[in-house]
Amino acid sequence: MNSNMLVVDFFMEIRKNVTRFLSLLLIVALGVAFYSGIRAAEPDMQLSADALYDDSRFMDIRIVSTLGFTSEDVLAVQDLKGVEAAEGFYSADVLCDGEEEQFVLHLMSGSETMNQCTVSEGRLPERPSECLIDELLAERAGFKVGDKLTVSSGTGDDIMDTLNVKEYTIVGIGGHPSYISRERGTSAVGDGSVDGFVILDPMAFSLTAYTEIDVLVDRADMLTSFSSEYEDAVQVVADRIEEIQETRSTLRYDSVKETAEAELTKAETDLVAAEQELTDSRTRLEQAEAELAQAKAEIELKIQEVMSGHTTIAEQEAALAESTTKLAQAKAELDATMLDLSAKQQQLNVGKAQLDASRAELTDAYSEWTDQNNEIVSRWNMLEQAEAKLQEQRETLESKKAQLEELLGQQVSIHVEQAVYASSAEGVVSQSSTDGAAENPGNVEPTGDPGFATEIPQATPEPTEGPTSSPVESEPAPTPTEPVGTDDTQPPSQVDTAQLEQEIAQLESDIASRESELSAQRSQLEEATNALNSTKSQLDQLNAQLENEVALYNASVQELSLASAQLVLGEAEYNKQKATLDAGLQALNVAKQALENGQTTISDSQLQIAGAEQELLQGKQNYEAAVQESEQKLKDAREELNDKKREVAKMSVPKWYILDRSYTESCEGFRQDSERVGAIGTVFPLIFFIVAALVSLTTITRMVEEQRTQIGTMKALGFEKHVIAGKYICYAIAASLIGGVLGLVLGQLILPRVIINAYKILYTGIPKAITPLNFWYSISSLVVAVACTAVAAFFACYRELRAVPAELIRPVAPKNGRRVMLERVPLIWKHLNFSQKAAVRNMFRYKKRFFMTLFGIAGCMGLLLVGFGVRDSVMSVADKQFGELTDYTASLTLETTDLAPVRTLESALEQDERVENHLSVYSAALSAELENSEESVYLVVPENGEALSDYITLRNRRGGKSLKLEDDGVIISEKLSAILGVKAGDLITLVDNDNYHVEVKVSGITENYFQHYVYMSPAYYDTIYGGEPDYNTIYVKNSSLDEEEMQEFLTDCNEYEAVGSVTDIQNYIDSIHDMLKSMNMVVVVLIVSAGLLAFVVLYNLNNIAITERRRELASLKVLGFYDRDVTVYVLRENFMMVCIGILGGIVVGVILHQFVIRTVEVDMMMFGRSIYWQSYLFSILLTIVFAVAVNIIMHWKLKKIDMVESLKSVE
Amino acid sequence: MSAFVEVRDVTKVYHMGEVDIHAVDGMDFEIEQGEFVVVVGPSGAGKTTILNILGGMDSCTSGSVIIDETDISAFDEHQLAGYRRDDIGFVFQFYNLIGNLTALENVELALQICKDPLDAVEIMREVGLEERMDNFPAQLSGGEQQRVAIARALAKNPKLLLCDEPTGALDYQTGKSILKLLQDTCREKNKTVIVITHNQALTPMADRVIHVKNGRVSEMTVNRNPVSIESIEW
Repeated sequence: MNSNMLVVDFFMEIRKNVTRFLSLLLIVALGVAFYSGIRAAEPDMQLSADALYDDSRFMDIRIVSTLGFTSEDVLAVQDLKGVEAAEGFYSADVLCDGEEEQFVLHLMSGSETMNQCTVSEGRLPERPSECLIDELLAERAGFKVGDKLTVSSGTGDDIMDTLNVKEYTIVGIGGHPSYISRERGTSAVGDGSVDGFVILDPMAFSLTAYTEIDVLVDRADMLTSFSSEYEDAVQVVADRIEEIQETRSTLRYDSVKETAEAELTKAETDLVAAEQELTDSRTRLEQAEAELAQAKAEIELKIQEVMSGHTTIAEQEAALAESTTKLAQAKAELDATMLDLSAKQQQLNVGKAQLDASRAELTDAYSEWTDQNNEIVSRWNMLEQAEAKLQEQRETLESKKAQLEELLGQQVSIHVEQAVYASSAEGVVSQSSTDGAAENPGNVEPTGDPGFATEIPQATPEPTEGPTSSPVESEPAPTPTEPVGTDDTQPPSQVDTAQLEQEIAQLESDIASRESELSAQRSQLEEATNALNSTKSQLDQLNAQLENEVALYNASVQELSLASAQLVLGEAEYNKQKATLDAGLQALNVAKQALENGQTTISDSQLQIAGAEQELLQGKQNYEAAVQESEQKLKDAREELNDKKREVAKMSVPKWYILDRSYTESCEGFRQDSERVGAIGTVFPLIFFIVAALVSLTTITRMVEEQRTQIGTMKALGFEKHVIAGKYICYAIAASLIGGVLGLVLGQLILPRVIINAYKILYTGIPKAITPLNFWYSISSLVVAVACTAVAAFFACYRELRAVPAELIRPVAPKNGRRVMLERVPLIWKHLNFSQKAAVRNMFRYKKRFFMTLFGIAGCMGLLLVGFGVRDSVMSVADKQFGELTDYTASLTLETTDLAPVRTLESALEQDERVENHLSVYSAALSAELENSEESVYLVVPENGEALSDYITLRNRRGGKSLKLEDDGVIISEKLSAILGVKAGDLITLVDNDNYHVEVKVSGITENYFQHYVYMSPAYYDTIYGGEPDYNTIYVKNSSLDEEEMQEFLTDCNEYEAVGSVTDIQNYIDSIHDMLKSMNMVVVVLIVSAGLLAFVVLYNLNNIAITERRRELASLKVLGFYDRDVTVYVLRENFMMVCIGILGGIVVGVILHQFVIRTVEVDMMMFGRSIYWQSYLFSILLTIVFAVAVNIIMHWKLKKIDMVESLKSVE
Repeated sequence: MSAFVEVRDVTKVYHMGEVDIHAVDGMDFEIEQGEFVVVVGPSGAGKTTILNILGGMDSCTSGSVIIDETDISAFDEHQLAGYRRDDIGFVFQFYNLIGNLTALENVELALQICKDPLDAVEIMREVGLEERMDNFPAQLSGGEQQRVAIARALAKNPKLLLCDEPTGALDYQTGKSILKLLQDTCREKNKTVIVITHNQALTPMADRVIHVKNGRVSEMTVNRNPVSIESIEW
């Protein structure tokens, strides 16, 4: 019955003051929710990642080796105990030219069974020509399914050494468990940072050895990645792999070395052959040149020859022409001669005919004469007697004749000859005329033959046959004195005839003279004889004439025949000459033809030679270029070969690197981030939890105090202590248990999800947030919450229960007013008005409440400050780094350091209106080391050390003193100095890609937030490395351009040959702003929780305060305080507490902020260390807003206070 | 000319669930300026209610209350508060001092809000507490506390000084001295003082005695020759 009544009382207690119960419940819920929720975020994050890893069967161990792996290696690993699966994978880093920029891609072979991709669009590659690309890359580069992707080798090696295919069709877009963050790691090619991965069919790789072996550990998926159980399980297998590695490595080493040596030998041979070839080709070229020269010389010669041929031919032609003319002349002459001859012949023939006619006439005349003579003879016979008389005279005549004979001796012989000749010639002529042999000189030729002479005698008889003709000549001989005699001895008589004739003539003249002298009778005879004689003399004369003519004729004939013969000869000669000439002409024509042909050939060959020369020239040029190139190549090849040789020589037994998931950048990053959340989780929720515990403690205490009388009454009635205390403890437990369960469920469902979702902005690969209730955090927070309130209730009751009932029934004496410390400072105190004094005293009167309020407000303020501060810190990376420190607006990475294209670019930049200024710098990725710390840094060497400050502000963060590049040291960025733990004056080691170590002195430390930099003056570079660096980057400071103009400018820059890639500083700012978005989430969470904290704390405490001071406030009202005045009276102290809380909160916030920033910060970045004044302002304002919100509610409560309360007696 | 305080047919009904309780049921009286008035009656007669109404701490259900020609029965909360702060001085049975303030400060607290305050230290001297001004209420005896309360009420220079059983928590002698203080104040400062008490013995010292019974004025007597409190014994 009693207990029943107590139960009723318990529930009545709750019903009577639901607000109190609920506020207790809520504060516990809040505390538990924050504590368990944020604490659970770390394991939940890890679970979410683990779920992804398990789903995608992400490798537990990755083995990499310097020499790659064979399938035997894979099998050997597979066979190890505890290995669920082992698979070989290929991977390679390549370049891909996008529209604007060049991307560095990490190619990986895909697998069905391990490291499965999450395909968000399309499908996995099934053919070597297909690929699946990184979601992030697709987003950034705008690749879509169906696009083509062409890759190229980023090193000097042939891409085909690595890949079978270099153009791929994108068939899918997705994520890979290796890449859950936005980071894609680093690479040896391109700009050094991987922009995305590409999954290929294994067949797309032409590599002979697997790049890595990925191992799934048996049953490791049952364990949560990152947990120590998991790590232990993996370590066991890793140790087993370690055991076989030596054997496998040695095997691999031997085979690779063998192959490499064989390859080297081959390469050497090839190189030698190539070198030989080069030499050969040089020889060939030289030969060709020589040949060409020779050919040219030949052609020259030929041309000369042809020239001389031309001359010769011309000469010959001239000669021939001359000959032809001559010949023609000769011919004409011949023809003329012929004509002449024929005319002569004609003439001769006419002459002959005349002669013949004359002879016939003469013969007739002779016969007439003979007749007459006969008459005369007869007459003479008559006269002979007369003659006898004349004998005497004839004697004288005889003497005279002797005289004459002597005189004409010579003449006679000639006459004889003539006579002989004439007779023979007569025969010939007659013969020839009858035969017509005149035209046939050939027949004439044998005239010189003795036969001819013999013919003559033959012919001689003929005239005897025809005495008509021969007697013409002989007739005169047989002058009437010796006509018979002449007939008998005609030939000799003929000789004598002339003599005779002359004698006759002499005689005749004598006779005539005698005749004249003698007889008159005889005169007639004489006359007749005279007439006859004159006729006869006429005849003889005629005959002589004829004979002359004949002789002439004969001579002419003779001459003619001679001429004829000559003509024939000449003709023959002519013909011969003509033949020769013709032959000559022929020959000349042939020669001419030949010459012409030759000329054509020459022109042809000249053309050919010209062509050949051109070709040769070009060939030579090409060759020179080729030679230069191939020489370079050969040199390179030789160097490479030497390198390889050295490499092979240096090649040591490969080492297997057995890497677990912590070597996967994003995995480790995520783990670290989750631990950071865990770290934050240990601090923040604790504040909440403590506040919640304190608030619930106060509430419970207050409640117990309020019910002091009731407790006294109960006690007086005889209830046992535990029964009485039980009510309050149960009350506390009920409220905290319900609140706690509510809190842990809601907290663990919502908070980790919010946090994971915020982190999903950075870790895009995490598919879903897994937020199970975490047993440990649930139970621990619940137990602590319940215990806190229960213990608080117990102690509150315990104190009351100790007292005797009588004491309890009496009202508790009001707390005494006390002077506070502040009153001892009259300077302040005197200036406080009365209500302020009251407020101050009030504050200190209820110390518990004061500190609790302070705690709540400071917590609220601190949380807000951390929230805003974290945002500021990230923002300051953008604002300070890119607003204050980095003053250039774009950087151009040069593809080449060749002078010409760079000069072109520089002068273009100088003229570009959009460019304010520009500076060449050398920028290289190095590693900075000191003892065990190592960081990737950028070495920046400006061409002009003085000008650097226009582009990058170098200054101390504290004090802002600007730094100058010294010639004996480097300036390093702040975060780097923090990581390496160095200060100005210390030495650090820089290691470049070739593993070349140099030690440099740190001369200054500059404020820097993003990435690590080492700034070096060119002079110091010279000291350290020797020489001038290759300035490979240009910092550009643009005049203010809007986004579009800037894009245009960058695109223009990319057009230049020298420019490899362009970087817009705005891109960095944008990406940091992206990061801020995730930070905003955190800030919102913090603001909301801070608000809740402030509200709950203030509400609870004010509530208690008002209840406690109800009478006092009522009295004030009676005194005439308006409601507003009453509120102000109460709030003034609240406000003061808020103010003090805020001050405390700033301290808490700044400390927490530093802690959070250092926890959250990644190595690459330094977040801002300071909080902006705006954030202080916002935090303060928000805290005040929360306080005011609570106080407005309080105002309503105050208004409700009845003045009649003041009249009541003290309870 | 009407009286300084006129209470005309004032009723006050409290609705307690389904029952209407007529705490004041048609009360009529008037008080002149400078009078020392004692309201007497048994517990529950409605004397505290009428005091609350007079003090502007409560409003009447019907009727009118005219104080110095102002009808306060029609006042809203805010006007009432203004009326309280300017015209009324209130002395509680349990002093109701602000424990966190010294005696002087408690007086000053009242002075903060009123238009025409008197000097706090002067008042403290007048009430005989110049030695204890800087003490906290907890350090003072009940009578001293009540003196502070009276000082606080007087310092406001109110038109009306209302005292609810000012001696109720005090011993005889102290009570007497408090009443003496009140009477002297009335006489010297010409203040209208209304004292509510259940102690019939105090009636001789009043200028006007109002007897209240069952929410009505059962009898109102004007005492032409009030005696000093010293001469009264009870």
